[in-house]
Formats: sequence, C-alpha cells, structure tokens
Amino acid sequence: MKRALFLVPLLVWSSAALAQGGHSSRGFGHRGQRSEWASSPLVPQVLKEAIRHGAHARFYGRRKVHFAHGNVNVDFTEIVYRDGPRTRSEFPDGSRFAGQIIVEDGHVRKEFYPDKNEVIVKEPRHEENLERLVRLARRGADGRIVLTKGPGMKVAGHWTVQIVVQDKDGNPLQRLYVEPKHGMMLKREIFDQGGAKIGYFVFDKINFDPPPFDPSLFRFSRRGVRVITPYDVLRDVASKAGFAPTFLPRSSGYKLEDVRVANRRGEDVLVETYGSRQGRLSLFELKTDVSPDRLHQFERDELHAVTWQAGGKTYVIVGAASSEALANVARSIGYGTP
Amino acid sequence: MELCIGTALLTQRMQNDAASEAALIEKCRRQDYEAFGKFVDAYQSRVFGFVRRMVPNAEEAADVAQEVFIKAFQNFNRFDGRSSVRTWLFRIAYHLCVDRARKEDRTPDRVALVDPEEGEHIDVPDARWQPDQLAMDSELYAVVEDGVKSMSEKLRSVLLLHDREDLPYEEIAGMLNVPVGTVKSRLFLARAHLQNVVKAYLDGGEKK
Amino acid sequence: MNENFKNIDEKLNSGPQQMVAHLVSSLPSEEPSMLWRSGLNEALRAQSRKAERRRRFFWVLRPLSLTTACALAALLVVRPMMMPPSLSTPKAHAMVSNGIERDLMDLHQNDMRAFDVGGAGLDPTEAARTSSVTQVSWTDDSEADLEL
Repeated sequence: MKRALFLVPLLVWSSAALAQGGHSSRGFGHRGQRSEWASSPLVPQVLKEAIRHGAHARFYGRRKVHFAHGNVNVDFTEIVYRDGPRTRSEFPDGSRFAGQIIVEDGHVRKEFYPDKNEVIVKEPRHEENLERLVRLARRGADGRIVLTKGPGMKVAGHWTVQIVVQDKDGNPLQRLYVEPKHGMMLKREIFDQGGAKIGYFVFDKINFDPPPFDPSLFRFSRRGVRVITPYDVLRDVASKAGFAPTFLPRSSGYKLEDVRVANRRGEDVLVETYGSRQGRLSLFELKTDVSPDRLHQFERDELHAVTWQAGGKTYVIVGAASSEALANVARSIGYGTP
Repeated sequence: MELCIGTALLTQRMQNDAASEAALIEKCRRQDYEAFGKFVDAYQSRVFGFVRRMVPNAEEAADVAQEVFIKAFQNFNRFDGRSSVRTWLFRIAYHLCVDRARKEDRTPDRVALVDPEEGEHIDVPDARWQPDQLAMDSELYAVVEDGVKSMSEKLRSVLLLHDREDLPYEEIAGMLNVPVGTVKSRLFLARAHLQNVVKAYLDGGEKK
Repeated sequence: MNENFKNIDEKLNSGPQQMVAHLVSSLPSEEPSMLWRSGLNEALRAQSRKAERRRRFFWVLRPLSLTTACALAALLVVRPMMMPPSLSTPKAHAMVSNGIERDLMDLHQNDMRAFDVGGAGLDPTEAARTSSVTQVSWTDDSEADLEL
C-alpha cells in the first residue's frame, strides 16, 4: 500500500513528462515558430544542425567544466554517456565528485550522492537544454542577438565550426564550437555582462560511434538508498535558515530544480531555481525589503522581475518572461501574491 | 654630481613613501575602510599568490586570501610596528594557510625531502650544476610551480617567504617560531628540491 | 659564528641555489579576480559597519557621553511634543540593503549561465556547494521500486 501510494504521483508526473516530451520532439514545444528560425538566414546552418541532432545524439566522452561562481571557481571532469534523451554522468576516481552519478532516462533525472547515500529525483534536463538552444536560434532569427559563424578549432580531435553569440552592441555572450558532421557541441564558453569569460565546458575525448549501451546504464537502482525530491531539500534548507518553505506549485508548469541559501550584502536569500519548457526562473525569499522600482531598473532585454510581500517575507521572481507572465506564475502560489 | 642628486632624490622619495605608508597604517589602525582599500591594493597580489601556492585548492585559496585581509582589518589596532607591516600580514596569511591545511587534513605528504632537524637522509643535488642559460618560458614556470607544490608545507612556506616575498631570515624564524638556522636549512632543502625538479626537466626535456 | 651556520650561508649563496631563488622570485604573479575583490570589499564593509556600531556603543558607555546622551534623549522626547504633528520625524525607511535588487538579478543570470555550461550533467551551481540535507523522510523502498 505504502509503495502504491508512492507510485501514484510519480506515475502522474512521468505521464506528464512523457506527454510534454512527445510534443517537444515534434516541434520543440513551440509549433508555428519553428520554421521562423529554421529558415532564417540569420541562424547559422551548423546551429540548426546542432539542434536537429541534439535530440538523438549518441556518444560517450569526457569533458572538463569550469565555472566562476562568485568567488568560487568550480572545476571538474565529467564522463558522459548519451543515447538520445538518455544520459549518464560519472566523475573520475580521485575527483571531489567521485562516486556521484547523474542519470536521465528521458522521463526522470536522478542524482546520486554517495556520501549521504541519497538520490534526488528531479525533472530531466535534456529537453530543456535543447529548448534553450532553440530559444537562442529564435532570438538570432529575430535580430535580438547576433549569431556569427567562423572557423573553429580542433576539439577532442575533431574540427569544429565556431558560432559567436553577441548582443546587439557587439558584446560577446557565448562562443560555441560545433562538430559539423554530428552536429555536436564540443565546446561552449559563456561570458558575463562585462565580456569576461566566466565558464566553459570542453570535451577532450569523444567517441561518436560507441558500442550499444546497456539500458541499465541510464537507470539508477540501489537498495536502501534515501530517495528525496528538491521539495524535501526546500523544507530542510528553509527551516534551517528561518524561511517559509514557499514554492511554485507544479500546476504553474515550473518544477523545482535546486534550492540553496545565498548571502548577499549580509542578508540571507533563499534561492529556488525552477525549470520548465518555457524557460527557467528563480524564486527568491528574503527577510528584508526589496524596492520594486529598483528591481525594474535592472530589468533588461527579456529579463523581468515581480516582487511581493507575505507573512513578513519578501518574495521576488526573476525570469526571461514578461512581467505579466511572471505575475501569473506568482499568483499560482495563492497566498498574498500579486 | 648627477649621481648625488639622483641619490638624494631617491632618498627623498623613499622618505616620502615611508611617511605616506606610516600615515596609511595609522588610518588602517583606526579601521578606516578607504585607507584599508589602498592597503589591499598594495598587497593583494602578493598575498593572493602566496596563499594560492600554499593552499592547493583554488576555491579554498580564494577564501583564505580574503580571510587574511579581513583578519588584518579586524586586528590592525594590534599591529605594534615591531616587524614590518608586510611581515605582519604574511604572518596572518601563513597561519591561516596552516590552519586551513590542518583543518582539511590536506597537508601535502608527498615530499621526498624532510626537515634536517628530523635527521633523515636528504638527496642534495650536484652543487656544481649550473646550466648555461635557462629560458624562462611558460613551460619552465609550470615545472617550477609543480615543484613548489610538491614540497612539504614547511619547506614551501620558507621558500616563498624568503625567495618570493624577500622577508629576512629573522622575521621568518619569528613567524614560524623556529631558530634562524632551521629557516636556512629549510630554505636550502627547498631550493635543492626545486633544483632536482628543474634539472630533471632539462635533462629529460619534458615536464615532470 | 657557528660553523654550521657559516656552512649553510655558503651553501645558500652557491650558484645553483641562487639560480633557483631567482627562478622562484621571477614566477609570474597571479592577480585575484574582480569578483574576488568585490567579495572582499563587501566583507570589509560589513566589518567596518560592525566596528562603527561597536565604537558608538562604547562611546555611549562613557559617563560624560552618557550624560550628554541623556540630555539629548530628553530633548528628543520633549521637542516633538512641542512641534506640530506634520513636522514630526518621518518613519525610517525599512530598506536595509541598497543594491540587493541588482544582486538578485545577477544571481538569476549567473545561475542560467551555469546551467548553460552544466547542461544535463552536473550543474556548477550545485557543484559549488555540498548537499545540505540532513532531515528528510526515510524510505526502505529501493530505487528499483520506483522504476517506471
């Protein structure tokens, strides 16, 4: 009985994911808009190929990842297996993340943390990644950003084509290196608003023709492991830091991905990151006031924010959607929202 | 005559520098935020470099380097001027690095060389070895950096404090709470280790 | 001078030892990033504010200061009563952290960039910290029971 009760929400959730996944693979979730970017001369062909191949890429390889997160430089090496929407990531022995396993089977994402013997069950990210690439192409087709193709370099033994992504003022946003034959992005560099490179990944080994993968590679099973969701993490983190465990309901279309407490200007901020097919957004909870006027001053391009107060806390939602759309999302919480 | 004028000007400038440093230190003692910002400007690169080489993990090194300046800011009123402000700052840095290494239990233990006071055998390289010229290229720098990383914390700290930060033996001895002779022995061993590393690189023509 | 010391001084001044010393001194410097510096500035500013509060506190504790403070407090209590209501001191604005709004926007954008780098693998935002869950519901069901 206990088991059956546990299975019901998961079945509902996975059915929804399946339904969305099917829809997405046909038209990347935005039918009617696909042809605009797919036929636009402003979008390099190689990016179109990367999007087209992205849904069913098959390989295994090793990539290095670097990201400057505030004052913290994060560096790690990841071993990646990919079979269409199914992925598995492992980390080499001796690394800080050795033993950690991330799998996606197309419906669900599981992150296993050996030190805590726990697995966090989340929404898969594969489709969302593809969607972000599509949005990039769409913005290029609309002229909101500039996509320039150029000669690339040899990455992991394969020649690549370079795509430089710039804003309208010519500031670099991203640089992508795509292997044209397989439409595979082998290197990606990300820049901040000041034009400084703050992160990248680069494959140093890749095999585009791997032997058949055992389906169990993309599943994770271990008896006695503690199974939690990001919503469990939220309850725990919020109660420890003195926040209310407020979250966006699944009916909003946004699924909780990550929770943490950040400290900014001496104030704790509960940060909740949500993913969806429409894009990602952040829900912040603070114990201090936030000025809506100042918040709007920092809105730019497609980035907007809404804020409200409830129960003595201040809430802010930031995302790449209109203020009205964000306000609608906020209203889904119900209590005290704008 | 020109030399005399030059020397006089130089002396004057040094006196001015000393006076302005004294004024800056006095303001820092009163926890003047702006003045301390100038102090950070003057020392951040050296402190960051020292900590970066003492703490192998880049994230931790960045944290420790910040902690050094925060501690200095908090305790500046206790700086008594008996040593130079540079020595005082590096004393804070050294102790924080050692604390961090012990806390994390990550003290490098892969050294071929040990302290002379512990009486173990030391592989001292050929004292006549002296290549005609060393091309100071990035590869050689990387070899030296690796060599520095591969030595014990005791040897590395002395090497960096003396050869990189120009601190006198006596001040290093006071900082580490060891006799001057021990500082010199450690410095000798640290350099000998690096000499072996560089020699192996030059002989083998490849890194490591 | 102790013979051993003399000996070690000679050794330290030998050609190879000096060459190595030169190599070490000429290693390139590593400049900390702007982000590092701005993080430090934030921490120092917080320390500075704390020190200022402490100074004020001790100033109040001094007897003479205490007398002055009492007199001022009395003045503050009496004067508003003599002033017309419209001229009373405005309520202090609740805003405590100037610039937090920009920090929130930056936090979001940085998380999005990290997501672009991480993709379906490990998210650098998550990698930057360790899992902090301690109290969660336990289940004896194995993961196999959850397979769909």
